[in-house]
Amino acid sequence: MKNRLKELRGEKGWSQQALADHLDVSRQTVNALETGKYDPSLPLAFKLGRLFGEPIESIFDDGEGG
Amino acid sequence: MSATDKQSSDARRYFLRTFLAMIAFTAILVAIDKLIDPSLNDWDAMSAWPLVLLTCLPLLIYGYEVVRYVRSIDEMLARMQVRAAAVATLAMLLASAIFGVAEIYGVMEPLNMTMLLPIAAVAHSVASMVQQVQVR
Repeated sequence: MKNRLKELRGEKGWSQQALADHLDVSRQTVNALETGKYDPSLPLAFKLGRLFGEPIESIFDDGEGG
Repeated sequence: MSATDKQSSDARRYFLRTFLAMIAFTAILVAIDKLIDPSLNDWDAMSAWPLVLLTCLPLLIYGYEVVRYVRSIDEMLARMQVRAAAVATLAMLLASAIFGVAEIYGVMEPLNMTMLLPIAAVAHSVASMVQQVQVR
């Protein structure tokens, strides 16, 4: 699944480690999320949405949108 | 302590304790086999059960540490561990089927069932490593 995590993280000026600390996950997981190799659970997706102040659908794109 | 530091600490505890549990398990098995083998001491079957329970103790500790570790890590790493456990279980089932059939047809000597545990451990490690590489 495509996402804007890297872009949003860049806007905040955070490293992957900093984002990982905010989300309470490992840096490895943040890297996998950014590269689209891992799709987050709904609770983690909501956490990301709240952290960046964006709705989930504006962060993640499943390619099904019109 | 950051999430990464906590996970590193949990991982160290997990690897150390599961390693020690496996060493204890192996040591108890060897001790039973070489020193206090019930068949050599004319023990009846009921007397041998405490020995069976003794071998279960390190396995219970191992299981507790696995559950504790999986609950302490984040969702992606936990999912990897659960998948690796599923692969390990499948490998153990396949090995028991293959060895069982081979034993029935006299192709190989009867195998101690506890020998299947290292197969599960290796399968778990390999499955875990493969998944780690896949998300890099």
